[in-house]
Amino acid sequence: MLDVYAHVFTAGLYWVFLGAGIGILVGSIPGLSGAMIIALALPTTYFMDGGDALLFLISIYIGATTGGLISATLMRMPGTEAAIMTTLDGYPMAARGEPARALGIGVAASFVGGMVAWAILALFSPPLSLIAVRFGPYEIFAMTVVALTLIAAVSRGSLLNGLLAAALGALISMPGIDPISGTIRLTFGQNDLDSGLTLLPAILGILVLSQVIVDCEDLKTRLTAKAGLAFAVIKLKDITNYAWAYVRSALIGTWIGILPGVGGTTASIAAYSVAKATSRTPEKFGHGAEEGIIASETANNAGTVGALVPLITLGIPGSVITAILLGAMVIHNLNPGPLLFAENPEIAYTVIAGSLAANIAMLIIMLVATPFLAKLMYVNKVYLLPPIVVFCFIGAFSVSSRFFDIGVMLAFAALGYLMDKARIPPGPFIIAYVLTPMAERNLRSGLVTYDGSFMPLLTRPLCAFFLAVAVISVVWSVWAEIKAFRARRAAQQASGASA
Amino acid sequence: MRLVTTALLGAIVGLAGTAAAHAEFPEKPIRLVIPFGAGGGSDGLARAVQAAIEKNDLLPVPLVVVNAEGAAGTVGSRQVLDAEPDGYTILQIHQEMFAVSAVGRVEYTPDDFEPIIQATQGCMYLAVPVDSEFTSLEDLIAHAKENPGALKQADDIGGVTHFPSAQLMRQADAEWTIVPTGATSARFAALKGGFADMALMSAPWLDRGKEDLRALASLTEERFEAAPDLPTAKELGYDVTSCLARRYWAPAGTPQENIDILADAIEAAVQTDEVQQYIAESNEETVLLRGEELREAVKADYQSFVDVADVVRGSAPKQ
Repeated sequence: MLDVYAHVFTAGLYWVFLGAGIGILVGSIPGLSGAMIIALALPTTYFMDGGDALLFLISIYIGATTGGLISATLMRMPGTEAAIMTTLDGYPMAARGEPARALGIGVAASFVGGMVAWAILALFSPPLSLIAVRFGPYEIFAMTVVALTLIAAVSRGSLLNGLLAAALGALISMPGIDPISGTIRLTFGQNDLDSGLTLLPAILGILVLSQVIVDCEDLKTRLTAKAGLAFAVIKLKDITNYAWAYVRSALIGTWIGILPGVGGTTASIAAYSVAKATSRTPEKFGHGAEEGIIASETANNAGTVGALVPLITLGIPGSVITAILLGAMVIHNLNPGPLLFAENPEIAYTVIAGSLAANIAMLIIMLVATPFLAKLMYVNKVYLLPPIVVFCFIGAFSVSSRFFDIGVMLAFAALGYLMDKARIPPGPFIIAYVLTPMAERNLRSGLVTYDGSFMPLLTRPLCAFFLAVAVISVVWSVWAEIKAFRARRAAQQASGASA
Repeated sequence: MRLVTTALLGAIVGLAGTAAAHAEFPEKPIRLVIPFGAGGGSDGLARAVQAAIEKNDLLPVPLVVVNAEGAAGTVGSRQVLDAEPDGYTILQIHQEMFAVSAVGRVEYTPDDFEPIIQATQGCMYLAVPVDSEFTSLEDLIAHAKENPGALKQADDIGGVTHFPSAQLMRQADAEWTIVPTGATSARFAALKGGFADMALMSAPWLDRGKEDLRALASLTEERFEAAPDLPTAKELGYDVTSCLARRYWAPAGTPQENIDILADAIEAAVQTDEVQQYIAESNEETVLLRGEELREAVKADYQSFVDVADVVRGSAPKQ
């Protein structure tokens, strides 16, 4: 085991830094995703040593998750799906003149999330993976319901608009192949809709291209840069004040990452929503709250590393990227699966040591790059927007190599722009869009497993626990909304009486 | 950069396909559509074949592998179906094509394509959790007969392994429930987590799953070399096989000369050491079929899917 670490931190460092650097770069460009680059890099690793190939790919994977925060923070455009929640607070903080601090908090959060998840990966992988496989369809459904109810928390203050957006998001996730019976539904005879409205074009349209349009309306006003280079501001205060937020988000993120089929995006949604629901200052969320950036970025990096747990212990990939990593192991004849630890322990340790090294490499690269990246905030958008548009088109086309997805992206860009004008928040829309298919598939799969009975949702302890949390979360949000409404009315009456 | 080139090349090849002139075939890049994602078994074989063709100059033009995933392989299949039948746009897919057609999810059938060559096959076996009460296929089927619908099989309704499962149900005159689960790794999790009683698993899991799974029967013509003690279902009285056959297809109407040129190149590529090694490492086997032999195999194979389509359709839950 120690010689694996020794190799990773000496000869292997070349691949780690190269991978992390490439990952951060593609992660920061909306339209290019880590999954795409890893799929493209896979054939080039055929000629490499199996261990080095894994190091390289894992470093890209971890770098890409972090890179997403750069464009999310500086341009309000998530570079990767997992950075969607980071846009909510990272950008407002950067826009009020603190881009280096916003990036610094995000980088520190990514690092802490990655390190906590790494410690869990290194110490508890085998027992945790055994717990994860006991999470059946109903458990995952109940957990998804908790995340869905948090839509209410995220849209506090404009609950109706939030619910409207969520309903729209849920509806738009429906067309395509029915996840249970396999029949094709709601496509209106359009074969192009058979695979549904896929996630990447939708996100590129609604979050990135619509932002491009908004930016284009206002190209003249430019933020003026403060003189000199602003180094990544990682203040001790920002870490000690929010220690619990880091730990909580990292644990949520790691656990969600470990569950098969649930990824970093869900991890960041869940951690953000929990942070807002339990915060003493929930009204700051969405306006540049430190806690918001911390929750999102800690959880998505923790989820990224957490997804490696079922991969190395059981050979179960939990996401698109880990499925490609599994493919890489097969190609290099590393026999992934439940026996990896027993038969190829050096490969399991390479994955573990590699995620540690990649995390450190990510931190170093980001600390060096942040002062320069923060300058992007003040670059004339005329130079930044055209390449972003080009990458969006490439990204949308690459999903299934067809032009239909570009049309989908453009339609979503128009929708996103209209929603922006109507002040309908995109957050609840995306959350519902991502989570509804997961909820549907698991609920219906559970119904088949339990012969059509809903009872296990109440009798299985974990299901009952999650559903109770969901109920509390809804009651809490409604109560807080009523309290806020009464407070406003009381204030109005008071001012009316004094007038 | 490669992404850009691939995307652009893909687009250009697609557009240029309509303007094919009659000259020496092939005179421009050939687009090989993989209707599944990167990193899977289909993608792996295609990339290995492409690398071998390139390295050994088996074709005078580049072979461009394009992933077009979505809707159980139908997105990519349609791209080939809609292409000019000239051999410049071809498809690599296994029986998922038969599955979607047999239950009528799509309006096209295998007859709308011309098979070029079959390269490999990877076979399945029936597994139960290692602590299962069933120690033989007979036990399992006896239990299923007494308790119709009680046993749960982790699979996907209408998926490619659902059809052989339906054949087994029909031959045994038994019935069990298909729980929509996903690919073999998800099935493994369902078996290990106690959410399913049985599943069809691919050959690599014979070794990977030896501590968690019990193999009851192989769904092959002959016993697995890797598991000589495992009886085939046929030996036990059920004439059911389940092997993913990876085949290359062109749109119907593609000139035979062009098909022969492509088949020659792919056959030579499959026989190179690199591709042979890849096939061995992914626990599949080389089964080269072409011409009339391939057409017969496709016909029989597709018929076996159509024969049980009603059973497959009937297993969708009535919620």
